[in-house]
Amino acid sequence: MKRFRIFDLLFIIFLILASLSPLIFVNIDNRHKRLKIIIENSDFYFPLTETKIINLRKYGKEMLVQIGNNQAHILESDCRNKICIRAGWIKNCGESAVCLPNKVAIQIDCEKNYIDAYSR
Amino acid sequence: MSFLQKTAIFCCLILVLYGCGQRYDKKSFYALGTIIDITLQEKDISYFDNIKTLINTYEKSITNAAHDINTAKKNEKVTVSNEIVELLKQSSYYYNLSNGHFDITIATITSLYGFPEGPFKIPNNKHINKAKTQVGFHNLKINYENNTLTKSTDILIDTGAFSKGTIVDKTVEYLKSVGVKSAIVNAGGDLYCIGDKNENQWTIAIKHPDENSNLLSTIFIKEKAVATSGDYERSFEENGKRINHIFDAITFSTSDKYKSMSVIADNTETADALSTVYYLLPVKEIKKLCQEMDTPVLIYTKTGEIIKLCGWDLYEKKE
Repeated sequence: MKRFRIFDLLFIIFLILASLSPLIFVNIDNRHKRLKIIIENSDFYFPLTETKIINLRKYGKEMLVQIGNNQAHILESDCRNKICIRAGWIKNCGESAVCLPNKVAIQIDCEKNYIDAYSR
Repeated sequence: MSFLQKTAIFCCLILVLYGCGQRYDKKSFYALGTIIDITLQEKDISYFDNIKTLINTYEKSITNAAHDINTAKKNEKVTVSNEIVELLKQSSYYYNLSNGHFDITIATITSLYGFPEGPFKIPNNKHINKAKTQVGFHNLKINYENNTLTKSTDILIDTGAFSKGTIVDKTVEYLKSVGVKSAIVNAGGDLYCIGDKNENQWTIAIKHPDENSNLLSTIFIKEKAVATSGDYERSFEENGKRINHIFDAITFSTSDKYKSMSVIADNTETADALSTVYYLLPVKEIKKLCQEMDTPVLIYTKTGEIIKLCGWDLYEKKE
């Protein structure tokens, strides 16, 4: 029986690592979350890691979105029915709060979603 | 074959298998009074603009037809397109199926409360009583031969309870016609899953109306539609009573039995319409009807009880 050479061993280790790499990247994607704000026809992205209040006035909307603790919610809105505020904090991948009169939605955007869609 | 060769083949196979999974992209836009989310494989994303045009065109045609019907005077003849005639036929079907509880002419009353867009208010009794004498699908005289109709009373119609589903189905039809094998068309919670996702079922969550961090249910489906009707999105509170947009055409008042009603069906129009029809019926009748219609149902009652009927729980298990 032929004996392993050191390069064979290194080659095997390299192949094993290479074959596992997608799994590692997929898992990193899984954890990667950000806030997507859809205003009319444009999408804007914000990190969920920092604590802050985003004023949407610069986009022409009288609304405040609060981010903190890896979650987000619509804090204030000049719309009539305040349904978007009632939606509360969102944190799961794909979850959203929508203000239809203002055509503004906030959504938790993940590279890889466990949940593909929500029915509500 | 040496051990080295075997290892190399095994590792390459794993790499190839990982590479097989298609990547998806989700794009959104506002239409049909809600947000439309389209999930497509990256290779199909170019269809997004066509989908947007298609949905906007259908919406316009339904809105214009409803406007023509609603502004027409008593006994005035209104001509409508084939698509609207189809919608009216379906309206008649669900009206009969629900024994008159579900009626698109209930808009005569709900509009007095400010639905669908607000501002919401409790109308005065005089107006309600007058509207009660006008409501009734039988007051729409439809001539299916020549696509015309007349109103025998001053009624208003709103097909919003299921036209969203119809438009989702039209979009699905289009996507399938251009060869799309895997996608989700979601119109504010009324959705259809085309095919599967990388040979797995799609994972769909039903939102909990009371607890933000919880889900009512998670289901696994392919080539199926899901729709939910609820009391918490289009509603307002007056003197401690929640008035939601789903009204019973027999009692002429807001339906307050449930907080949320979800239905799985073979097409979105059916799921959408039945989620409203079931919302108006007692559990005993839903039980009977969901068997007849072969549509699994998830009910969340006013008292916080979760009821799963007609095999809903089977969809909570992955194949």
